[in-house]
Amino acid sequence: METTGALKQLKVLETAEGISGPYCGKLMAGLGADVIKIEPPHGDSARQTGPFPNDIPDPEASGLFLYLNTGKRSVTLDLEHESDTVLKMVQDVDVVIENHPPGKLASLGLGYDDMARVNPSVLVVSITPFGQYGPYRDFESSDIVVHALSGELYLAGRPEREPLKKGGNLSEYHGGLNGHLSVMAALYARQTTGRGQHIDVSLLEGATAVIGMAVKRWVYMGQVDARRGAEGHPWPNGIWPAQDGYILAYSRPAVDWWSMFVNMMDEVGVSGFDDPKFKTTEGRAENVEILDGLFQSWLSGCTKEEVYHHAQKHGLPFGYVATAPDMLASPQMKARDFFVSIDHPNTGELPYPGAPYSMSQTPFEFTRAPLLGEHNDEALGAYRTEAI
Amino acid sequence: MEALPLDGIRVLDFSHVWAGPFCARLLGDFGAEVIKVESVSRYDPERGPAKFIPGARMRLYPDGEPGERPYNRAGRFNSYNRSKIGLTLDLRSEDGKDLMRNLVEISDVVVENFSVGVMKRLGLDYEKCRTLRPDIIFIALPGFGSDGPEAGYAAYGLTQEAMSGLSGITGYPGEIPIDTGVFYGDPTGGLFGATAVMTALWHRSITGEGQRIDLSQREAFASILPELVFDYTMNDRVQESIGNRHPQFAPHGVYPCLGDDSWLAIAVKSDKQFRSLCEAIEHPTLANDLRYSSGSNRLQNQDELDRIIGEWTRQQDQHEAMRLLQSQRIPAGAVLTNQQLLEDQHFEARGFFEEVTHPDVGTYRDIGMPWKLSDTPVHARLPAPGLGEHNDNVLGEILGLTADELCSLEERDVIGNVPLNTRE
Repeated sequence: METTGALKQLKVLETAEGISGPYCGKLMAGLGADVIKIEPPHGDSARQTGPFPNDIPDPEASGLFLYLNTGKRSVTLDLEHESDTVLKMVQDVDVVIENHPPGKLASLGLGYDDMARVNPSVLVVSITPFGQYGPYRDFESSDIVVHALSGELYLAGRPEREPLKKGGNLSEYHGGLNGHLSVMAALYARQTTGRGQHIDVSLLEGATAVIGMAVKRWVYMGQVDARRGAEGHPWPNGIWPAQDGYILAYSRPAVDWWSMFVNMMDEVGVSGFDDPKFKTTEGRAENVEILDGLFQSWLSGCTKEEVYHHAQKHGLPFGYVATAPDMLASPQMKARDFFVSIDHPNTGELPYPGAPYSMSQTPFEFTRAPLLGEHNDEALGAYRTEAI
Repeated sequence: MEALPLDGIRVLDFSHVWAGPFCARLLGDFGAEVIKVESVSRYDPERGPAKFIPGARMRLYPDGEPGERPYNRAGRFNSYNRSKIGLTLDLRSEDGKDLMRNLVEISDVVVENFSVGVMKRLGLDYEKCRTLRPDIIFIALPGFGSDGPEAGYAAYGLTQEAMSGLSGITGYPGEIPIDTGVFYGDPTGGLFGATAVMTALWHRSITGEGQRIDLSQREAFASILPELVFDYTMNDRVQESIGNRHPQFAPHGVYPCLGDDSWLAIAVKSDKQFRSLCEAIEHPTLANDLRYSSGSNRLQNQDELDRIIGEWTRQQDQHEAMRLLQSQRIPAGAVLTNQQLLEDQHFEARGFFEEVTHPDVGTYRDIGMPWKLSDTPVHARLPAPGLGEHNDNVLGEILGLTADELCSLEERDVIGNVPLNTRE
């Protein structure tokens, strides 16, 4: 298919499973690259991971797999026995994305050195939990394990409770994103140097990169950063119940947000906030119970959308705890066409989260994920014939 | 000097606070010349107060000392703005506007995260920049995007986490959602932003064409949380937080260890790993117990399982337990404090933390790169700039202004290196 994507000249070979590597490949495919995904004969492990329609496992209907593999072509190869075929494919590509345990590909004759020998300008990006070397290199991993060792988990949650993992698989997606960023840098460099290179991306380090402040607190001040949770925030910052869910109240640093807040409450007929004793952070901290009562009396009678729009109208950066149906119905996300509708033989048409950013000249395009081995004939035929 | 991927690329960074500055910093780390644009009357709020007032909330300063120039010593600013040079320019003055137009003409990328409309008022919106530099790459990172009914809405990191769906699946089970106190929204927006710019630079290097990038931080974050959307469209299920547990695997959580506030994360993803865990915690009979014989049985009975594992971990040192479990191929990780992180052998062996020397701060380690490039390695290149530290460099060496012209600009506060509001 003709694409206007920024990466349309690029050929990418992906031998990666789960989230991190495939997410990197998805971003590149969405931007126009021709991404061939090598799956083992039994398929990418994400095919076994839900959510599935009606919770019934189906390797061709995993929401996770379908999302992470949009726009790719799938071929099935047994790396243990067909490394020659893979090396032939490497000759024709610009980028190889892999997330095998460190050393695994090299043991099959498919390490960076093997690939560079047949294609000196190839860029190989290895996206792994702990990187290609170091004492934890061979550790078993999971999102929560990465967040634990990254220093992020200790800081997250309430002080009197256990550290709390954020939902989702953030370290994995950040790993894929860090992979894409560093591949783009290496591609850009290659235009000058003409040389390929090996990129070692660590999910662990990607997670640590999020907590620069905790690192600074130790190196600048020798202080162990505590878990503060919502208690670290001045009133009224934090999550509050409203009629149909939860809202996020947030004040605005560096401007007189308190008078904005008082005006906002005044307009809905909740008086009492203009008491001078509430004017300072300290004053509010001393009178939390009174303030809570006043504020909650309004929130309990409002929907989260009402609170959100009313506060934003007054210049306050409030939000609400959005659920999937909230986002699918959001007028803002609709106006921007964030969700894209993609048809698939096993699931029918579904809305997928779309472009993470819009590019005026080279927009993202998303087409459905491939069936297992769907492109064996067209994408593998030539390489296999040569092998005979 | 080694070649860097973005050698020869000049970036004008108008952004403040976190997401935008982080985006520009990544470009700087990769070798671009990033000019942080502030003014003596309006500088990045992360620099904190111009003068420290005793009794005010203490920010992150080296040794807890604000020093004479606290605005050059603030930890948050210095973290998000390294690998840049600093320019102050009053963009409301005619001189400032003229000089900025001259700078746009010789720049490759503009990064901004003002409220929608501000760049237009400054005469620096994309259309205007494009007349000055036809192949300019222009990125805006507003909270909700540059168009649509909520385009003008304000947002900070926490707003993004709530609006993107993260907060709804984050919290202690059975309690209302909480923000965890660690913001993922801004770094996510910044990371996507740098990737977008890099992609646009690639396109420009092939076609000669620049473009405009519009990054809604909410949408960027929502795009890395697809599971909750599919669970709704496929199963009509509105996901809620399950705390440290996993929808498919058990046991999965954070367990208390010997010592104060010391924890170990364990994530068992297969029957095999579960059998190994039972051996490791000296409870081999558990593996044969019907209640725990399969993933779904373990999910149903995980309260009891967590209790049993917790009894064992409570007697263990977190690092020794991690090594023991990992030696049996069980995913486990010590929950590290910032101190432990800076002393950790794995980060040390990989040289992740990098020393940066700053004239107003001294030499300290900083966050390094989550990627290692074998042929064009990148490192923290420069400390964060002091306010207006590179005015002479940018306006004198790059734009060719004379010393007299610079003096005149300084007298009229168009440029400067001391915040206006600290002067008598």
